[in-house]
Amino acid sequence: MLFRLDPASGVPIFDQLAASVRGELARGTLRAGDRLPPAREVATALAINIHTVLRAYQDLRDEGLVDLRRGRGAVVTDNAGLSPELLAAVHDLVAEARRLGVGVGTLTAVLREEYSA
Amino acid sequence: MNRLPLRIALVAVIVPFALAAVGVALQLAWLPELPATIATHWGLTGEPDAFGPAWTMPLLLGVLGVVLPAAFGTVLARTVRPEGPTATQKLLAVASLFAVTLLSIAVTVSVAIQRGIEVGTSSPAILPTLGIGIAAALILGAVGWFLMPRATSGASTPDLATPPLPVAPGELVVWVGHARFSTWVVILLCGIFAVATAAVVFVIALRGVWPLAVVPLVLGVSLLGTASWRVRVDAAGLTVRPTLGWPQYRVALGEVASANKTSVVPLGEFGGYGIRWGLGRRLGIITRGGEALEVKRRDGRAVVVTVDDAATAAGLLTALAAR
Repeated sequence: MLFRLDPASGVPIFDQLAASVRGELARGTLRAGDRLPPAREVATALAINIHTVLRAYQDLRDEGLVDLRRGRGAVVTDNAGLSPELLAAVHDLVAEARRLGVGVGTLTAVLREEYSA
Repeated sequence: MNRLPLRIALVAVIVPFALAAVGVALQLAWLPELPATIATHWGLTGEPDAFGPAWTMPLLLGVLGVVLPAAFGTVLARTVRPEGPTATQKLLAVASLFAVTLLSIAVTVSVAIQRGIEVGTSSPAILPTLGIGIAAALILGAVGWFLMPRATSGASTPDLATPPLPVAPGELVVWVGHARFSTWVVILLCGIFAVATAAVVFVIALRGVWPLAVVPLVLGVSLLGTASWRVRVDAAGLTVRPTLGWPQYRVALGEVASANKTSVVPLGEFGGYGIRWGLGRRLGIITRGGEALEVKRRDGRAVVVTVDDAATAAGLLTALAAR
């Protein structure tokens, strides 16, 4: 499990932490049933406040990606992993967008639009 | 199965077997001088407490003198790799030599001292014999250790260097991994624990040696304590910590010479699972076979931990060490 933070990016730290976890889920290095590292350990290693890490874990829970249980920490839920079909569809989508010269910004905007529809 | 190198075969199999054979031959030659019933077992005080027919002792030594070296020899032949034995494997070979030497001397001398006596019950005490046996076995074991080849360095074939992970200046990065016994290692270790506990319970029930209860306790705590490890790579370097919190292993960034993803063969390279010394001054935290992170220090020592996603960990450590 790799956490990366760029303090200069302007993106809130807890968002960057949550994004790291989502990235690992997409890469397949984090799977259902895996435990996220204890918040205290992440906070110490990155020299940030433990509540920032907890905030990121809570956001992930609200998204349904992890379960937070006292004593067990944050556990990746069964529906957190992206299905191979979805990943394949995304792969095709990006390939098609590239072919048509559609940039990542435009494509992301279209995806957002689709979600709010 | 590989062919066991001659010097290891000598220590683990050939010399033990020869010693037992000499012991058995001597005892058979002495049979006419022995009483029909001899002492076959001595209590903790050194006085005889069990008796049997005179042929019991050569039979005992004959069976153990074949079974023990054969068992150690088989394990070693299956695990010793062409590069040479690990410290653990050398210890196994010496254990075979030690056990059979002690057994041969103790059994043979205990028969020798009963020649010409009327009945086994008047057999002399055994303790001096045991002392001689232990001393001789220790000396032979030490000779055997130095007779065997040194655990050579340059362990497994060097893997291709793991590329560093791109890390921007000022970026904060931490990698956290988990090393955990795989299911079948847990089954294996539970088996060993069960056998050891059963043996201890048996001895306690038979002889009431209660202090022995410490053995399964220590074994259990050390198994549980080293079953799960947290592995961390951050600005402080590499940290490997078990559930108990001790013993903790660290490699500071400044000490890192190289970090790579590698693949581990537990029995061949480290002689087993847990905290292990392997070929070429490598300390192993070995919980399963396969993918592992290997960190070489500047002084030539290395730490090997079996974790998933080792390439990311190695790449990050390389990048941080270069920063």
